[in-house]
Amino acid sequence: MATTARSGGNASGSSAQRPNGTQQNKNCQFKLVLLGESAVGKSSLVLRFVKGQFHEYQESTIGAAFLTQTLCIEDTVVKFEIWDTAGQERYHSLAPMYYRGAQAAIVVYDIQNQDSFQRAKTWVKELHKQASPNIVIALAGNKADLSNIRVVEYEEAKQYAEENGLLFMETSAKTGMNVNDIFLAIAKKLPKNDGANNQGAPAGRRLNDNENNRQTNNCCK
Amino acid sequence: MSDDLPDKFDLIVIGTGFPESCIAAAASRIGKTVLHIDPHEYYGGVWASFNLESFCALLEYGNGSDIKNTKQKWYINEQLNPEMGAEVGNSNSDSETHAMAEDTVVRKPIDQQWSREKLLQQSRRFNLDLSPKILYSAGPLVQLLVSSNICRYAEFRAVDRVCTKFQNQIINVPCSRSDVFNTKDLNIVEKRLLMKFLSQCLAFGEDKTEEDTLLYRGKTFREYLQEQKVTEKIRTCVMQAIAMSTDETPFEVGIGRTQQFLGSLGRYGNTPFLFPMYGCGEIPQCFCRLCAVFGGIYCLKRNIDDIIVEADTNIANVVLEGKTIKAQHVVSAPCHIPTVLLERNVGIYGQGELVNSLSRGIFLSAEPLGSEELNSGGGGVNLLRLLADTREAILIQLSHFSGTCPKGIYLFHLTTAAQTDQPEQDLAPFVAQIFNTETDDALKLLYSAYFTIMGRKSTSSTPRVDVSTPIFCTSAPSYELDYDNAIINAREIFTKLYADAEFLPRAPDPEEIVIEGEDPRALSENSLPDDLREQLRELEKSAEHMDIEDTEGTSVIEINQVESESQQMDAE
Repeated sequence: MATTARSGGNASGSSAQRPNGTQQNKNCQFKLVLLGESAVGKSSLVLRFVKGQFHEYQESTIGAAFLTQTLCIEDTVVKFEIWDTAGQERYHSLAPMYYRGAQAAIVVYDIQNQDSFQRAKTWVKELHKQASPNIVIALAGNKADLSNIRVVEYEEAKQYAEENGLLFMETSAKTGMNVNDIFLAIAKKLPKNDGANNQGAPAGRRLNDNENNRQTNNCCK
Repeated sequence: MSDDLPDKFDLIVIGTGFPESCIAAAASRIGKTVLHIDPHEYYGGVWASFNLESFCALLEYGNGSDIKNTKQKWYINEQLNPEMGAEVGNSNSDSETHAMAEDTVVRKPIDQQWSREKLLQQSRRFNLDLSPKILYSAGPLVQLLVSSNICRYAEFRAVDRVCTKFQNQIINVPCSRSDVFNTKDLNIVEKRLLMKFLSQCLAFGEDKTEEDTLLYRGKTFREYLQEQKVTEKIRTCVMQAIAMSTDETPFEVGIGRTQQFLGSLGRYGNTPFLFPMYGCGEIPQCFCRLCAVFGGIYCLKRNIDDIIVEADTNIANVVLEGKTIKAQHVVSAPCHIPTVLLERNVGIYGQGELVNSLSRGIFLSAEPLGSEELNSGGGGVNLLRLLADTREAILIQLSHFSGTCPKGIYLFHLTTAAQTDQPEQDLAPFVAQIFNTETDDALKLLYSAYFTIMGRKSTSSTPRVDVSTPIFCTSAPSYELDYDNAIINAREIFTKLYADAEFLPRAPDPEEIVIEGEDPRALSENSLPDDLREQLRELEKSAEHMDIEDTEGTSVIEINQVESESQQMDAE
């Protein structure tokens, strides 16, 4: 059946018992999508988190399907598969497949830009409409290093986040402030036990999952 | 909104269906600047999938340039309470269908009842494909998805069962070796015969001088099968479900398909087939994402007013809601070529006359087709190829495990090559085979819909096409199980555009992306190295209610490079 040996998509929590009886680390993989208006620093946040880098003049796309990063929480290894919009949001043309199977989302706005905050609220609505009902959403007020010229007040955003059940932090991809923290906060909020695995959502498999360990039970060989 | 678009591209692609998206991705992948537009507000064109509400609205709206002859019918009441019974909207329901709905109530426990309202409440759980396909695990699309690394964007479900109709019964076609031995549908002699036959097929053609090869050249596959002394049941299984053949299928074609079937076994599941999770509408979107990742620009809901080709430079001027954008080449889905352009009789590569391409039926039921055994584990994805005289149809049964319908509902896709502009009539002989209302155990339908997918007869050699035309027209979906023809079509156009370029070379894995000046040590700037666990536990306690701000500065993160993940685990 397709539900075995999958790795992507839904929280594929697995904890294998080793022959000597010790408990091996639990591995979880989550799809996390980034949303927000162009130029609020979505790609920069990912780049800071995944590569520890910041580029002042970041190209609008970074030429990656998605990037991955691994966190450790207790006995659980949490692997994030982080999807960037690849600019498809610019003309309101983000494909629904972007949200498919996403267990977490970071909605980013720029604290110097009121429009981007309003747009973030629209993205939150969009997520409630399009994404899985159990999705963990974090709101990130980015460019916090420029807080002296902020337009969006911290309290305003915090209140909005609380009212809508979102995690909230002000971040700076430039200084690294709260970048790792916001991912960690999400990782902690995500269900990692096998019981929370399906949540009624169907599970599929990736084609390249078993490229290396392909069975050869061809019926005629 | 179009105002800030660049005014010059290498390629403008109109329509986000499968071949268009494929070409857009391939061009973007080799560094071409691509603008990808769709007049619709959704991705996929005639290759799209829809939630139930949008699908009903699409059919209600009726005759577009790509979908025609639409018809839909509800067999259930608006609301659960039968007394309410008031019919609203576009319904064609009559007293007969009321009777059916009530009948269902009698036959099924209360929790199996459905109303139109209840189904529409779950509208979002539906992904109804206009052009559903089934993929061979070693077929051209899977190969392309893997070789281009686009497979990273999508998930699949292995088709659970391949079925066939034998003596009015739907039976499971054994696919794997264990299937053959475990099936109750075949006796021991038949099992041995089938194994022997399939082994023979697999070996076939390895030796070109083999007697068999010469013996059956020019004969039909059926004639070959008849001489193999297999039973009627095995012949049916092989002809209908393995070799995907009809009585007229040439011997070589039948053998080829059998080998394709066998070659796709043992890769992802029990059968040689895959179905994309959430429907086939995901596939074009995956290609679009690759295009975007490599810099392609996406604009949905934009109308093309006209395309004017500059006579001296051969550059296409695409007029997009009043704004002119220049492009070296334009690729368009057949239905999106502006009428004004067609009226000027401009040479367009691949564009032929408008034809009915596919006759489609979509059915919803609360029960699956066939025996309980055929649907063990809740159904999954079942494939059944149907024959009626010289014609054939493909039936795909989907359960909620495919992500295309809610739990408790079974979705049926019926597809045949269009004969007329009446899809219901085209599909009637096949519908009669599966939803036979005469018998007691007939499947009770909740909803049915019929429509025609329009296409243009693909004519790469249309006489008036000037070799230097910058405008190319893709093909609409044709009757085929997998995406073979659609990929050939995309490849062919891509080759016309960029003769020497590689078609969708492998895109890098996330782990392979190294950004210049990368310093892995920078990762640990926020992490406290010692006694990570204990501090995390403390943090956990203090952050019980996720007051993130309070934990700022005390939070501990260890970020591992993906490569070190396994070592790190070992160290625990």
